[in-house]
Amino acid sequence: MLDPRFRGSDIKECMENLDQIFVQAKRTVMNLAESVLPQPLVLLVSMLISIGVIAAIGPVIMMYLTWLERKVVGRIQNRIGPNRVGKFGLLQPIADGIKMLTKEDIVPEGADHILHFLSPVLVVVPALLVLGLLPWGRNMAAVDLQVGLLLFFAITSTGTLSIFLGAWGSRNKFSLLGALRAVAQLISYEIPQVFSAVVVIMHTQTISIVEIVNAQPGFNWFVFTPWGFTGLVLFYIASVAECNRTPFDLPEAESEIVAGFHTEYSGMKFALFYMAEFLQVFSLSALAAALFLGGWQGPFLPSWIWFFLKTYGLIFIMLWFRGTFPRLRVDQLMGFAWKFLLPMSMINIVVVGIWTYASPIVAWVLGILIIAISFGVLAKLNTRYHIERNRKFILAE
Amino acid sequence: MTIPLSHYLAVSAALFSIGLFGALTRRSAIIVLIGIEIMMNAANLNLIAFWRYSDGTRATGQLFTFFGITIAAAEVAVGLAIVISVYRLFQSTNVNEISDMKK
Amino acid sequence: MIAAFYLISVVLIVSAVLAVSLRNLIYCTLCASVVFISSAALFFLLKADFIGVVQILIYVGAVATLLLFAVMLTKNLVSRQYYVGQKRKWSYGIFTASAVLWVLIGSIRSQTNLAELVTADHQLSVVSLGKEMLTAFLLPFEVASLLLTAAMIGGIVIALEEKKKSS
Repeated sequence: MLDPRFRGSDIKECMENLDQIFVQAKRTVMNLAESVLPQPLVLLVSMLISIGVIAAIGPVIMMYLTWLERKVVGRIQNRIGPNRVGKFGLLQPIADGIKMLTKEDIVPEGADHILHFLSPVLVVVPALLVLGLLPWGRNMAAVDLQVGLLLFFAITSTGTLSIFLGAWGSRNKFSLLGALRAVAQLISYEIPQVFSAVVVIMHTQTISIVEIVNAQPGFNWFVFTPWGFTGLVLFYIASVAECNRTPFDLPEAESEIVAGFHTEYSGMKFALFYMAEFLQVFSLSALAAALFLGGWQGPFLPSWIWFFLKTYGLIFIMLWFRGTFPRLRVDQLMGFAWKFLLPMSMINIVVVGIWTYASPIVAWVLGILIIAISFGVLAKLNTRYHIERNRKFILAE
Repeated sequence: MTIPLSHYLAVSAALFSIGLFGALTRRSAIIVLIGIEIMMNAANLNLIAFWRYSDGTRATGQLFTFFGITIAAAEVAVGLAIVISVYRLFQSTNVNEISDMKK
Repeated sequence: MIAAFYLISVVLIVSAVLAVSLRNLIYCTLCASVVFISSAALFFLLKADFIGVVQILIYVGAVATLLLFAVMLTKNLVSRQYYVGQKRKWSYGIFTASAVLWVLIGSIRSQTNLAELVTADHQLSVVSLGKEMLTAFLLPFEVASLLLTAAMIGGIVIALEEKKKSS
């Protein structure tokens, strides 16, 4: 069963087994199913296993992301975070879940009941669907589509619609303000996000996420090239905005518009919005890891451990942002997307074009030069006012 | 057993008629636009169905659909901009009320 | 596969009927997006993956959102004015639409050689699609990009509020 090269060393063999443990588990179940069930049902069982695992792993990821967020932000703010329920507060998400389930479900008097109900359901569906497209490890993508990356963006773009419907159905001005901000923000940041992913498509000449990961074996991750690094930073910033997280959390800015588009939601419906947000955080971080950080590629450790390490590393940076940055203004938000991210990602496309056709040294030098110069120029152009050099900052100025 | 081509064409024809019905009878300019979009969708479905049932070595059918979708997107963008500016002028999107040349 | 086709077709036609006949404009838009998604599903059934994805990306991601925006900008939120009255005679529309349907179905039925056509067992890769787009279809491609630019500028110019009037 194993590759004969690894016969000598036990550790490698063990790692190899661990690497494929989930694939083997599924194969065992499938063999069992094949011996019992007729052929058409076997296919159904195979599908159901994948769907079941994805559907089960989504809520678990969400629950422990809430725990992680509270712990990390707590540490940043010099607190301990949840520590009462279970060891290190590990059972806190379950307690929260029970609380959410037993809460009263309030529907406002004037609300459009159908839309109000439909919106949280519709917002979770795309968030769960994209999990099926991710490469969780070697041979561990639920579906390997030829157009996987494009489908990922297509599915995430439908989330806008449900946010809008929910806010409209709530019949509340804060909801509507939040939804307007959300839609404007999501549409604006989708463009630099897709543009910064285009560089990877250009380099690998494929749109399949699995193929893109396969193109970065060992340590040949795209982040170690000038365009890859720029692409990762741009993609990551755009992803933070796509998830409506600090510093781009204007759609749900607590201090301005109560809670934005989910103001009128309570109980389990609110939890569904929350779940969609956290699943999006996870899937976009995982996609960033797959596109630029080599996905599950890495030495020694099993592939799925690498995948989770990279993904949670990126998620940690997102939480760090939340603990560090203040919120942007609306004009700053839009200006940042249209005047900085978009031109920068276009320049990045030019750089990857040069990379494809020039010799390595020329490509490196030219790439770094072009990116550095354009970054400097764009930063200069985007600075509205000049900060005085010798200004003395006086308290309460 | 596979689905015959005529079934796809029948679905597409039904979709086209529904879109036509919407575009003809409804008074709201937005629904008229939705009707036109549904008609374009029917045409795209036709193109893809014929592509699938051809020898399929060339991508002509798919690319025609691609351009069709592009044109539909452009049409919606301009159409809705017109709807909004008309609404600003007449305080209504009812296509029957918008009959004055100047206001 | 066959069951999937008929199921999707039924969803497609029912939601299309609802999209053009409901009174509440928001529900109309919602049903329209169901139409778009289910026709994307038919594209997937026909093995046109790329077009199906483009359909979702553009129709559901952009067009449906734009439609919702337009509904919201043109109707008053508080007074429930987004209901459109039903005082109109629908008989002319139904007559015209069913006449068109009759002609279309008749022409499909008259083509007896349609039944002989079978699906070839081929899968067009995205790479060859892109190559074709930039070689044989280069001119339409460029014209389409020009059209999109023109539509974008046109849309902004038309919807732009005239500042002189307001001041």
